[in-house]
Amino acid sequence: MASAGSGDEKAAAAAMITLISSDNEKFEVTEATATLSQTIRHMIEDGCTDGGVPLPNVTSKILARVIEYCKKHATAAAGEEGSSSSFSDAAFLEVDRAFLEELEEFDDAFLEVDRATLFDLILAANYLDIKGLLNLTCQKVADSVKGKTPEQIREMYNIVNDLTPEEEAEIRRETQWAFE
Amino acid sequence: MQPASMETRQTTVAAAAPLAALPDDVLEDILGRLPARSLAASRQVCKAWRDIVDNRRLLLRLRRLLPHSLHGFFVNYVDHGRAHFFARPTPAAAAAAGTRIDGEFSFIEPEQAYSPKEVADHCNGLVLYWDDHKCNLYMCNPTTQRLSLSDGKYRVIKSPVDRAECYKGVQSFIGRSEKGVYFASIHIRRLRVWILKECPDQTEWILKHDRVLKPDDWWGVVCLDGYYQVQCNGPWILDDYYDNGKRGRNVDWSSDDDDIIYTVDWEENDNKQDMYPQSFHFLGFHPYKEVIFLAAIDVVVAYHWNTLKVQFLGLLSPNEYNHGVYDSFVYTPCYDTRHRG
Repeated sequence: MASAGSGDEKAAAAAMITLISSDNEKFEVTEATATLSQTIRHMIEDGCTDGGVPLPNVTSKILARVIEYCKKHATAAAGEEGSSSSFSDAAFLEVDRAFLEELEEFDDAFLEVDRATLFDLILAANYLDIKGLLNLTCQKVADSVKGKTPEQIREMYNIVNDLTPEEEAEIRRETQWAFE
Repeated sequence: MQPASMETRQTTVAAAAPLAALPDDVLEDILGRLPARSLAASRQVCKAWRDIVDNRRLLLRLRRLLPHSLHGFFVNYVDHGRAHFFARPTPAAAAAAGTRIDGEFSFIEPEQAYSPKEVADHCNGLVLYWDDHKCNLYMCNPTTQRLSLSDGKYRVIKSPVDRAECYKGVQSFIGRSEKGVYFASIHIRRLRVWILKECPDQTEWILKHDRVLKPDDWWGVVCLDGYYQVQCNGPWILDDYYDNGKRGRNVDWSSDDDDIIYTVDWEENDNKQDMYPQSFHFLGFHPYKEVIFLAAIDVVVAYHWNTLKVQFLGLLSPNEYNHGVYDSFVYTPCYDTRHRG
C-alpha cells in the first residue's frame, strides 16, 4: 500500500478501479480511495472488480461527492500510516495537527448541502459501507434533530404523524420529563 | 459475477429522499446520537421512530449514565403511618395524565387504615416499599406505577468516619453525585463532605467540605410569609397540598429556579442565642450536582456546598401529628416501562 513520501508516481502506478454510477457514468479512482468503502474492498479481495464496479444505487452526482470525500480521507489515512512508522518529533506532530484541522474544515464544507443530497449521501455511505462518511452525515442529521419538539422534527423532515391520539398520550405519560 | 455487463439503469430517487426512507440501522445510528431528552421527544414523531427507540432500546443505553432529572423526595415520618412525596407541584395537565407521583402508593392496593407503610430504599427510579400491615415488601416504579423485581450489586468501601465518631452521634450518608461517590457526615451543626478518589492501587476519601452551618437563618423566609402560607405555596410542597397549588410549575428541579436565601460565606457559628435546631436532617445528595438537601426542623434547603449557596425549597411537616422525619430518599424517575406488575 501507499507509504509516506512515495509521491504521485507510485499512486498512479497503483491499481485503478472503475466505479460506474446508476446513470452509467464511469469514475476512475485509486485503490486506496476506493477501499475506504468496505463494500468495494471486499469486492477487490474477491477479485470481481475487472471491468468496473457497477453501483446501481448511487447516482453520478452523489458518487462524485462520495469520491471527493474518499480521496481527501485516503490521503489522510496514508499520511497517518507514514507518521506512525517514521519519526515523530514535535514539528511532525505540528504538521499532523494542521492536517487534521484542514480535514475538519473539509468535512464541514462537505456537509454544506441541501437535505435531499444529505440523505442521498447517507444512503450511499451506508450502501458502500464508508464508516467515516456515515458517521459524519448521521451526526449532521442528529444535530438538526437535537433540542427540537416532535412537531418541529415532523415539519422539518415532512414526516407524517401516524400515531393515534391514544399512543401519543401513552408516550407522553412514559416520557413526560422530555416535554416539560 | 460479471459486473461489467450489468447495464442496470435503476431509477434512483433523485429528489427529496425522505428521512423515513432510511434503513432502520441508519435511523438507529442517528437517533442513538441524541441526548436523553431529545431521544425521548423523538419517540413521539411517528410509529417508525418510536419502534426504533423502543426495539433497539436506545433509552436504556443511556440509563447507565447519571439520572436525567430530579423529581423530589420520599419521606418517612416517625409515628405518621405513611410516606409522603415532597416536590414541586405537578401541573394539572400532567396530573390528569397520571404522571403525578403518589406518595401513598395507592396504585399498589387500596389504603389500609392504621397499617404503617414506608419507603425502604430506592435505586434507579425503583422504590422498595414496605407495608407493615401485610408484612409485604414491594418493588415498584412510582413513575410508571408498575411493580418489578430488581437485583443490586454492592462493594465495600471503608468509611472516612471512624467508630469513635459514630459513638459520639455522628451521622453518615453516602451517595452518588456529580463527580462520583460522596460521603457526608453531620454532627450537631457540622457538615463534612468527602469524595471517593478511586485509583487502581488504592481508594481513599478526600475531604472536600467542612463547615458549621447556621440553619437558624433559614427560618427567615418562613417567618416573613407565615408558616401555613409557605407550607401550601412554597416552591416545593408535600403531595397532600398538590391541589392547593394553582400554578402550573415546572416539576423538575433546577438549581436556577428556587430562591437563594443565603449566599454569604458561612463563618463559624458565633450565634450566642442558640435556638432550635441543635442538628438537622440530611435528606440526600443531588444526583448530578454538588448539592446536598438538608432540613432543619421543617425547613428544607438545597445547600450548594461548593459555592456555599442555600436555596429554600419548602416545609416538610405534614398537617397531621408526627414526630419528625426519620428517613428520606431522593427520587430520580425511571422511564423504563418493562417492569410490569
